[in-house]
Amino acid sequence: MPGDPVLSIVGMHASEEHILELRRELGLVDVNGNPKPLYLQFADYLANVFRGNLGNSLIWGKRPVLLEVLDHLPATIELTIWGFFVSIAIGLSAGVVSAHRRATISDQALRLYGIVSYALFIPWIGMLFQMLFAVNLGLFPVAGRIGSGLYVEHITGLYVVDSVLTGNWTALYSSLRHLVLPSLTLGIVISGVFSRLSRNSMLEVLSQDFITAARARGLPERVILAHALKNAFIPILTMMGLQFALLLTGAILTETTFSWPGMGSFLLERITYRDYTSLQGSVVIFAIMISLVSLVVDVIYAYMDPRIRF
Amino acid sequence: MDGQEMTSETILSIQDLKTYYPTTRGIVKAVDDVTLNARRREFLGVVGESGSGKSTLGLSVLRLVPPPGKIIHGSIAFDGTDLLRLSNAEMRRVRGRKISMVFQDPMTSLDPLMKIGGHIVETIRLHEGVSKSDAAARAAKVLDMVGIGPERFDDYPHQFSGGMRQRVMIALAICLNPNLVIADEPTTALDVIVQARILDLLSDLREKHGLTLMLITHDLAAVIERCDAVAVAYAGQIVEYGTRKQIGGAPLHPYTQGLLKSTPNVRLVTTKSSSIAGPIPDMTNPPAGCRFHPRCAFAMEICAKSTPAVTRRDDGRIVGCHLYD
Amino acid sequence: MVSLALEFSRVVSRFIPRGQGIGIALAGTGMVAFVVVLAVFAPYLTSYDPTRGVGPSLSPPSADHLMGTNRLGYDVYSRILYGAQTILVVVLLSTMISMIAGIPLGLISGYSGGVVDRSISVVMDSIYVFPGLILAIAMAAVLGPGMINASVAIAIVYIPTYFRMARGQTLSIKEQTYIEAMRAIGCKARTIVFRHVLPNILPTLTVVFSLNVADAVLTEAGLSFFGLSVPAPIPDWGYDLRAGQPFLPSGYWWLITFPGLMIIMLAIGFSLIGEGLNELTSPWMAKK
Repeated sequence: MPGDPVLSIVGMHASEEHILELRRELGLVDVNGNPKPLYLQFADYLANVFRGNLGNSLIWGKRPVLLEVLDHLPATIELTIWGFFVSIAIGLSAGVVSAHRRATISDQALRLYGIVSYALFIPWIGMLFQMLFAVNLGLFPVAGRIGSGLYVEHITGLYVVDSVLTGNWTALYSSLRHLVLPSLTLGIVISGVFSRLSRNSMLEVLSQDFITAARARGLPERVILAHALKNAFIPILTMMGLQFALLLTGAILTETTFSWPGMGSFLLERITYRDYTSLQGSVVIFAIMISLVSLVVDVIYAYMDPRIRF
Repeated sequence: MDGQEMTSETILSIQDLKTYYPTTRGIVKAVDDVTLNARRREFLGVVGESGSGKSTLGLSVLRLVPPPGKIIHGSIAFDGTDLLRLSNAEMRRVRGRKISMVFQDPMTSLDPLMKIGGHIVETIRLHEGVSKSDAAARAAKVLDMVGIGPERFDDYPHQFSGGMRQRVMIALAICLNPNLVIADEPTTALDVIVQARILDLLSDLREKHGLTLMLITHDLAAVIERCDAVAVAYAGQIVEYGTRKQIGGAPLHPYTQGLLKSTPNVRLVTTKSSSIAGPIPDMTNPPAGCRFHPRCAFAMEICAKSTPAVTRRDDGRIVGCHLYD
Repeated sequence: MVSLALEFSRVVSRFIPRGQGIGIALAGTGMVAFVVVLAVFAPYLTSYDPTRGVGPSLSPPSADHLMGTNRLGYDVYSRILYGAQTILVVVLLSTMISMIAGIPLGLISGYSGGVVDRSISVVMDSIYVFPGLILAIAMAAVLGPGMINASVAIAIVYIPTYFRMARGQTLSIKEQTYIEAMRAIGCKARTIVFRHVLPNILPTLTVVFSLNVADAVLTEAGLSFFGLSVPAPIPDWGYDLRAGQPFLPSGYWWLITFPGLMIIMLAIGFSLIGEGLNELTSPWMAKK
C-alpha cells in the first residue's frame, strides 16, 4: 500500500523483525504476528481513547498525540470564537434586516450575499486581505498569532484572555492585531450561512399571531423586532451550534492561510510527514469537539426556553 | 350605492372598502365594496362563514392586512378622521389606544417569552410613558377587571388555559380605554362554556366603559342573542344589515335565512335544521351577478346577470337582493 | 383612489413567481458554462504546456503570458485552463460516485423501513455529521494522491447527502395513497420505486445536485490546497493558490488572484444554479 506508515518510519531496508515489532506496537498485528482484523483494531483504539490515550506520534520521538493536540487546540479555539463573533454580528444583522424588509431590494441583495459569501474560498479571501491590508496598507500583520519575541503566560491558552489576566498589555495589543484578519476572513465566509438561518427564523417568528397582536396594540416597529428576535434567538442559536462543523472546517483553512499555530496547521504539517497517528488523533478530537458543542447547545436551549424551564 | 346614514352618533364609517390579496392563483377579493357603520356604544355583530372576508374587514380597520394583501379602495372614517389617510406613525397611535383588537387564537396571540403582566405594562408604557410602578398598578387593575388575580401577574402565557389567555387578550385590548374594540372570532378556539363567559365579559366591559364593540364571528346565534345591530357578510360583501330583532325575527336575505335555519338554537321552535347547499365561492373568481345565486333557493334569472343594489329600507334595514328591488 | 389602484397593480406585477428564479439560475449557468468552455477548449486556447517551464520565472501578465508565470516558469493562464479540466473531472466524478452509492441506498432505506433503514441511517448520519473537508482530508491522506483517490475521498463525504435526500423523498412519497393502491394490486417493489418514486425525486435532485457540486468544488479546492488532491505538476487551482502565497509580500499578485477567482466563480456558479432551481421548484406562497 502506498504510504505504508510503518515502512515510511523504518525505511525500506529495515529487517523483517524490526517491521514486525513496530507493527505489533501499533496494534496492527497481534502477538503472533497475524494481522489484526480492522474491527478489532478499531475497538482497541476506542478503548484507548476513553483512557485518554490517543497513541503516540509516529515522529518527533513518539510524543503522545494528546499532548500535541492540546498544545495546538487553544489557538484553534480562540480563532473559532472570534470568527464566530464576527459571523454572528454580520449574519444576524443581515438576517434580521432581510426578514424585516422581506421581498424588497435589500432583502434580495442580502440573500444574494448569503449565497455568494459561502462560495468565497477562505484561503483566497484570506490572501486578499493579506495583500490589501497587510502588504499594501500595512495595517495588520500578515500572519502568525502574536508578534515575534512577545510571550504570553499560559493560563487558558487563549492569548487575549491570558494577556488580560496577566496584565500584559503589549501582548494583548499584538494578539488582537493578529486576530483581526483571520477572524474577518472566517467570519465573513461563515456569515452567509448564518444570515440565511437568521432570516428564516425571523420570518417564521414574524408570521406568528402574537406579532400581529403586538402591532395591533400600536407598539413601535423596533419593539416588535426586539420581541421577534428574542423569540427567534433560541432556534437561531441552536442552528448555529449545529453549524459548528462548518466553523471548524473554516478555521482549519484560515489557519493554514495565516500560519496560525492551531489544529489546522498541525493537520497540514502531519500530513506532509504521513504521521497517521497524529491525523487519527486530530480527527477524533474534532469529532469530540463537535459532539460537545451540540450537547452544550441542547442544554442552553433547554435553559433559555421558559416553557421547558417551568 | 345607498348606504347607511352617518350621524354624529356614528363612530366608525366604512365606505366602499376594497381589500384584495394578490396570489399566484389570482387576486382574492376578500373585501369587495363594503359599506358599514357602527354607532357609539353599539354592540355590532358581523356574521359570516370563513372566506366571507369578515376577518379581513376587521384587520383593514386597523390597517393590519398582512402582505401581500392591500386596501386598495375606500375610506374608513373613525371619529371623523379617515384612517386610510393617516401616516404610519399616526396610525400606530390609534392602535391600542383608540381602536384595539382581540384575536382569535389565544394560544398564539401572546409572546411566550414575556410574563402576562409584562405585556400590559409594556403596552401602557409605550403609549403613555408612565413609570413602571404606575403601569404595573394599572395592569393589575385591568387584569382584575377580566377576572385574573394579582397572584398571576408574573406568570408566563403557557401557564394559562385558553380561556384565561383570552381574558388577558381582552385586558390588553381595554387597558388604554379605547373607543372601539374589534373582536375577531374571540371564542372560536375555546370550548362552549368558556365561550359564553368570554362573550359575557365583553358585553359587561362594553357597558361599564361605554365601548363600541364589533364582534366578528360565524356564530349567528350568539350575535342575535347579544348584539344591538347585525351585519351579514357573504363573499366579501355585506348582504344584510339590521337590528337583532329584525334579523333574528324576519331575515330578508336568503343567505341569512339559510344561516338562521342551520344554526342550532334551543330557543327556536323549528325542529329541522338544514345546511345551505353548495360550496363556498372561490374568491378569486366569484359568481357573476349576485354572488349567492348558485346556492339560493329563490334565484331568478336576473340574479345571475346583475349584482343587486344594496338599498336602505324604510325601517332602517339594509339588504342586497333582487327579491327586494 | 387612483394612486392606491396604481400602487396595487405595482404590487401585483412584482409578483411574477418565476422571474427571479430563472434570472439567478441563468447567471449561474453562464458562469459554469464559461468554466466548462475553458476546460473543453483548453488545448485551443493556449499553446503552452502547463506542466513545464515555458517562460521566465515570476513574470507579470504580458502579451506572451496573459496571466504571468510562476516561480518555475509555468504559464499561469495555461494552468488555469487545464486546471479547469482537473477540477471539473474530479468534482463530477466524485459527485457521480456519491449519487450512484447514495441514491439507491436512500431509496432502499426509505422504502424498506425497519431495521434496514435504521442501520444504514446510523452509518450515514455519522458520516454526515462530520465536517466535510476534515473527512476528505483524512480519506485522502490514507488513500494517497491521485485523481481517482481524490474523487473517492470527496465522494465519501457527500454520499450521505444524496442518501438523505433520496430517503426523505421516498418516505414522503411512500405515504401517498397511489403507492398504497399500487401495492394493493401487487406491484413489485422494484417497479414502484423505479417507475414512480424516482421520477418524483428529480426536481429536488437537481437542486441538491447543484448545491452539492458547489460544495464539492470548495472541498476539492481545499483538498488541493493541502496538497492532497492530484499530484503536482498537474494543474489544480487550489494547489496553485497555496504555491503562490509565499510570494504575496513581494507583490506577485497574479499567482493567486486568477486561481482564486476561478474557484470562486465555479462555486458561485453552481450555487446560483441551485438557488435559482430552488426558487423555481418550490411554490411561491409557501416559501418564506
